[in-house]
Amino acid sequence: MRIGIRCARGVVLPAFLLGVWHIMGTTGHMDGSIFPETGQVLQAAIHLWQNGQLASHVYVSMGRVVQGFLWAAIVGVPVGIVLGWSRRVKPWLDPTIHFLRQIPPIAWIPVFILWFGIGEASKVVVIFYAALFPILVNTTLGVQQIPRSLWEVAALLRFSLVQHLTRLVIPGSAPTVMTGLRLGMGMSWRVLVAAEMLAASSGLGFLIMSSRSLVRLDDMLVGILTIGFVGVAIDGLFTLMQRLLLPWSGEVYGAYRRDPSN
Amino acid sequence: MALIDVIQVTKVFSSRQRVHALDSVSFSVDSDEFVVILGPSGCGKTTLLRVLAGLEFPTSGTCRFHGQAITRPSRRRAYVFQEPRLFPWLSVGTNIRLGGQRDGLTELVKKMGLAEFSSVYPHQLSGGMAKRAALARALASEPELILLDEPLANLDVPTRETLYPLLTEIWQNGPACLSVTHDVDEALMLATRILLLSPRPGRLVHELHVDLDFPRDTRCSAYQQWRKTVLELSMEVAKH
Repeated sequence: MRIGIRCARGVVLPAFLLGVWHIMGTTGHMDGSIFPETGQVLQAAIHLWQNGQLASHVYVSMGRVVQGFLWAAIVGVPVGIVLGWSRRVKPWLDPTIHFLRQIPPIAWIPVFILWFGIGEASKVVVIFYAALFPILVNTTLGVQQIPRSLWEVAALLRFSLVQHLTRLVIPGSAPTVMTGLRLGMGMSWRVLVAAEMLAASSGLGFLIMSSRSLVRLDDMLVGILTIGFVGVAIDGLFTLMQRLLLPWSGEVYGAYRRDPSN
Repeated sequence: MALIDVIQVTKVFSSRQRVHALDSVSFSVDSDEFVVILGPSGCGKTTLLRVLAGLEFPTSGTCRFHGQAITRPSRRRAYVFQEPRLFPWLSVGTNIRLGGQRDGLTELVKKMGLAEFSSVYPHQLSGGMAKRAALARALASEPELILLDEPLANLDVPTRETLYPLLTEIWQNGPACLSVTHDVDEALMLATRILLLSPRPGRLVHELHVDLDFPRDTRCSAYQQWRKTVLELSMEVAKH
C-alpha cells in the first residue's frame, strides 16, 4: 500500500509535464517543426513498434551493452577484489586507474574507431571502458569496507584462501559490488547511444541520428524515451536481484556501524 | 608445564600517540582453571587477550601456549569477542559450523539453546542469543583454552543470570577459561582465580584464589564477604 502511494507520487510530475505538452500541442502554442505533438509521437511509436524497427534497435543496443558490460564485470570484479584485499597491489595500480577513469569514455570513441574499426568491436570496447571503472572502484571499496573485526574472526578461525573468498570477501562486499554493477550498467547504457551516433547502422543511437537526418522529430523522441524506459527497467532488475540474492544487504553495515568498537 | 605462560609482557602502542597498555605482566594459567582478569576500563585487559589469541604481539616479553611462543592465531585457543561478531550473511548454524565440524555439533547447538535459531540470520537474534551463538562457534573447534572478552557486558540481568551457569558448565566440561572484565560480580561468579590489574599501564597487583563452590550464589554470606574484599582491593588499586 505504502509502495503504491510512493509510486503514485512519482508519476505526478511526468503526468503533469505530459499534460502541459499535450495541451500546448493541441492548442497550437508549440512550433510543430521543432516540437511534435503527443499524438504524433505516439503514432510514431506505434508505427516503429508495428514494423519491428523499435524492437530490433533495442535488441541490437542491448546486445552491445550486455557484451561490454559482461567484459567489464569479468575484469572489474576480480581486479577490484585484489585491489581491496591487498595493500601491496594497490599503490601499483591506483594512480593509473584514477587517471584513466577521469577520461570520459566518449572522448575515446574516435580513437577506438581508429583502432577497432567501425564494427561492433569499437562499441563494445567503449561500453567496456565506461562500465569498468564504476565496477572496479565499487568492488575495491566494498572489500575495503568489510569490518576489520570480521577479518579478525577469519584469522582466528584459520580460514583458508577459498574460505576467505567465499565466506568473507565475496559476501561482505556483495552489496557494494552490486551497486557498482548497477552504476556500470547505467554508464554502459549512456555511452552506447553516443557510440551508436558516431558509427553504426543499427541501435537506438542510430535510430535517433538517422531520424535527425530525415527531420523525423517524432521518431527521435521515441528513441530517446525508449532509452529512458529500458534504462529504468534494467536498473529495477538490478535492485530486484540485489533484494533476492543479498537479503542481508543493509543489515551488514547497519549492524556494524552501530557498534562503536569496530 | 602450564597451559599458558605470560612472561614479562609489555605492550606499547606507538601510532600517533604513545599508549603504554601493559607493563611487565607475568602469570600462568593451568588447564583446569577459570581465571578472570579484573581491572578498570582501559587498563589493557583486551590487549592482553588479543596478544594471547595471536592477534597482536607484545612490545617485549613472550606469551607461551604449551611452552611454545604464540606467533599466530590457533583454533586450539578460541576467542569470544565482546560483541558477537557473527558473519551477518550466514545463518546462525553455518556461523557455528565455521568454528569446526566436530562430532556432536547438533547437541552443542541444542545445549546452548540455539536449536530453533539454526537457520535464522544473526541480526534476528537477541543480544543473549547472539552471545550464545558466538560461544557455540568458539566451542565448535574443541579448544583447549577459551579467551573471553567481557563475556557478559551489555547484557540484561536475566540474560546474565542464565549465562553464568552455562559458562561454568562449559569450563567444567573441558577448556580452560581466561576472561577479562571490570565487573566484580562477573569475576566472582566465574573465577577460580582473580588477577587484579592496575589502571594504565596495566600491571598485575593482586592475585586471589577464589574458593567458593559452584554454582555460586550472590546472596550467600561467603560470597558477600568476597565481594567486599575484592571491591576494597579494586578501589585501592584504582587510587594509585
